[in-house]
Amino acid sequence: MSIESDVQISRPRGRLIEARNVVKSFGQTPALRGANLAAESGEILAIMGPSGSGKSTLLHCLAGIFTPDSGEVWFDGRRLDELSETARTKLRRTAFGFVFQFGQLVPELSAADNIALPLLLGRTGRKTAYQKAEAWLDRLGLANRAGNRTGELSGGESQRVAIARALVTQPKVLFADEPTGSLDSLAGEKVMALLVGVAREEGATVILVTHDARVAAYADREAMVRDGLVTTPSDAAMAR
Amino acid sequence: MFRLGLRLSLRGGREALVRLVLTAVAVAVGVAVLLCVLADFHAFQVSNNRPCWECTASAPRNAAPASAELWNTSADFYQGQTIERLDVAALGAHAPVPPGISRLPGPGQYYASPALAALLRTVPRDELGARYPGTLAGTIGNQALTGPGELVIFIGYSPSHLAALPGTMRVDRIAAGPGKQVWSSYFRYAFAIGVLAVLFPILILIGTATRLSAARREERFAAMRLVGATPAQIGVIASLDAIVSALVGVLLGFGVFALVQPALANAALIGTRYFAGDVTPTAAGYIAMLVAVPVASAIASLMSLRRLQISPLGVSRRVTPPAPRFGRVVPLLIGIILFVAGLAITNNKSIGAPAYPGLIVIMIGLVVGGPWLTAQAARVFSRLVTGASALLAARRLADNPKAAFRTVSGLVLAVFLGTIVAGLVPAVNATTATPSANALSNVLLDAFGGGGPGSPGMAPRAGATLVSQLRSFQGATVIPVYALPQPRGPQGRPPDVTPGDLVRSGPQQGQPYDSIITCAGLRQLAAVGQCAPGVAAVKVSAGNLLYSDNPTYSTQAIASPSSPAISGRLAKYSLGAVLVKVSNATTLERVRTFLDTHTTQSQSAVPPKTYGEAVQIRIAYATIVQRLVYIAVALTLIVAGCSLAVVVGGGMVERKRPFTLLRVTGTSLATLYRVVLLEAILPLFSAAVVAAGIAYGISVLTVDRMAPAGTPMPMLGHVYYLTLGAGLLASLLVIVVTLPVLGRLTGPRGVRFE
Repeated sequence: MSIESDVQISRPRGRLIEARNVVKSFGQTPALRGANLAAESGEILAIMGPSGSGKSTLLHCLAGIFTPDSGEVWFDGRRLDELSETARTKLRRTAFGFVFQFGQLVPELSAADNIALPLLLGRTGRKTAYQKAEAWLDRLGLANRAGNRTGELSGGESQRVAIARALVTQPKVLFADEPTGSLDSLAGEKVMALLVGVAREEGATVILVTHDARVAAYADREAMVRDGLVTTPSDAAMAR
Repeated sequence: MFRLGLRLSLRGGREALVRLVLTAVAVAVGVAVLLCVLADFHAFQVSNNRPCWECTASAPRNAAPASAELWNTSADFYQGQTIERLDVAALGAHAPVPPGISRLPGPGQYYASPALAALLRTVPRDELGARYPGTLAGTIGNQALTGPGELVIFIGYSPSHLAALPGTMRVDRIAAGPGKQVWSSYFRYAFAIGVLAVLFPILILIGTATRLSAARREERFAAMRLVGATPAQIGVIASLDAIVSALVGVLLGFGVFALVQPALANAALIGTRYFAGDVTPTAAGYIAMLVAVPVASAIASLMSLRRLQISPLGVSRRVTPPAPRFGRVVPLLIGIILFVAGLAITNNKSIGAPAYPGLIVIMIGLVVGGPWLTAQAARVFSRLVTGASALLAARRLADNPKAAFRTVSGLVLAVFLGTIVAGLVPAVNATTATPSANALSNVLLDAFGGGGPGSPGMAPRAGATLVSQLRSFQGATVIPVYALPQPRGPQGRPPDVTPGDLVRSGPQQGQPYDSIITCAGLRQLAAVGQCAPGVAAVKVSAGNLLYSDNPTYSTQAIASPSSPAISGRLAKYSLGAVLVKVSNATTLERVRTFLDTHTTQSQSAVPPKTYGEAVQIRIAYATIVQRLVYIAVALTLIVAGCSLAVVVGGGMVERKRPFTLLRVTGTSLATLYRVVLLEAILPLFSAAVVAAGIAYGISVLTVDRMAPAGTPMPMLGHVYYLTLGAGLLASLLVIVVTLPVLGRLTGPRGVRFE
């Protein structure tokens, strides 16, 4: 997989998700200045870059959370940026999964509730939703924590619940933004191994934002974001 | 989704439970206050709609005697309270029976209202009971009364006895419809304004309570949006959360109201105690509360979630609202200009109506301009006061002055209205309770034969006897007022009055002399003038002054050294009236009872009463308005205090993270306390001072423009300072009570954030 140039190209086959010349600003502050990035189905892609480079914004644009000011975002043959908020919401529920550094779990709910939540939102039957949630808890070694609220879980356990919740709907893409940012290195490695392992088993594409080279090492490929643009690792190395 | 929403609200852990309880308590306070207002309004309406038996009109001459009766209504007084008296005599077997009793009292019997019956049992007979001939046959039922405290008596007579009394009429049908009451619509509007004045802060309280810990909830909802919850689904969950809290709060409010209802029934908010059974909202009121409050809460909750429609990342990218501009003060300035202009064109007939729009615009202007005032106060404060707490508080206030002011806006309006009323009502009362009126407050007047010019008065011999008997009362000084025969023209033509018969100076200039008063008596009543030295008695024109029930007129000087002297025996003149100066309340009631029983009843058109009682009756309405507004101010202060507590508590929970970080990095807890206190106090005091200042200015302008010359400038009395001071102090105490929460929230255990 090659890093995209700024030249507009037709969408090649095999690319599941793609950002083309994406520009995004917050007020007067530009975050992305024409970023291009694509990921293939089943690929694990790490987006790296210094703080404030725009890597999280790029991830949010790819996930349909932010709408680009200009440029295009494609997912599975459809222009994501042209979809309505309702359609993008549905996509987030059915085709995407998310694991963030913290704050993505609902503290009022138990671990099982949190995992079942996306299924319940999608009107899956209650019984089925909880059966799947329990299966995931079992798979990630959290069977004995099903009834615990998130405040009662350790950081690593919380992230494992988040991974289960992200994958319970069998998404095509799993977005992870600094998934180990709040963990120590040992717990972080365990979480990453688990995340990559189950994602591969599920066949999900993983787009991973991190500034940690050890986390990025779990990826099939790395992309570097600097000043709102995606550059190749070699480019980044040359710049250094 | 409903199940999930209910689960989040009811079984969402300790924080959700605390939020639910806090919200429910805040809503309960608001609901209880509203129910109290509605209950009193309902009681007021029931009281107004009771059958007005006093409105009964006389029957046609050809009415059948078998179904008719003789009827004579009058008023009496006891210790400043009015006693409604009906003297009645059946003419036949089918004579109509007034409401509240099962049959007419026979001669020598009377029915009394429960309150009067209790008085009759406890007060010495010569002070009250002797006024009513006969024995108590029973008590009058609620149907005839406005409340449990009303003093009413139905006295039975023989037809021949009652027919001889002046003012007796024949009746064959007793009025059953509600009476036409001059003040009813006035009080209805006052209630409506009171409800609105209280409703506004209550809505703010409910809205604030519903959005308690909004930022933390928004983060949760953002997490749900992230995994695919639609805005509608989030709306359902948030609405359910608000509705559940509000419903619990409404039910709790019903309970609180049930607890305070007995006290409310005894409160006599507008001077009348209502029956406890009437002091309750209607079923529609309860249902409206049960529906409207949860709906209002749901709307407030949905409005607070508007930000989440922007991004599933929720509040992670909040745009700082623009600072309020000076333009926000423009409505306030326009209101002041409109008010001053309206006041300038008002006259006695319009009684200030042209100034009302200005007053309303000023109130709107205070609410609109409040955030700007808050921002300016924060800016000035940050310049004047240095230190970490001042910096943090001023920064947060300047960041969102609109939110900071919203909490105290109801309170500021209460301060505004309270200050206007506190300024105006004493000024209005001062025009009635003049020094002269106060000097005569313990002087009882009883006029005979209607009083006033041309009235025949009491026959000289009977008058002399009466005066003599009155003088036997210990503590009573009797000043007789003799009726001066009026010159009469031949064959009924207008009186042939010579210039010497007319008053030459003073307020009664041009009026004929109608009375004679002794100079010894005048010396007892210094307020109404003096004779020339060496004179025993003078002619005066007392008719339109002394006998008026308006203290403004009745206490003006009637005599002066230039008043014509009169000599000779005064006993040859009819007795027009007696003025009895009493030394205490017991003597007053004994003298009044004596006058009631020893002068022909209803011979005096006005029952014997003191000038002090006349003043009290006159200023009662202004006092009631003042009391209503103070009650509204007090209720608003309670509600605003609750809003403050909710906001302060909620703000602490929302800022747990930054406060904890400040504390673990060395900021003392005292500094954080000061931050929280300053954030609440600054908008409250800055806007309240401006509101009070404008309101006081309005009072001064109004008195200057509309009150009679010589009316003192409004001074805010101790009740005003006590009410406002206590309210503001209570608000501050509420904040202080919440401060320990800050200590626990920011403790070392709070360092770990989920």
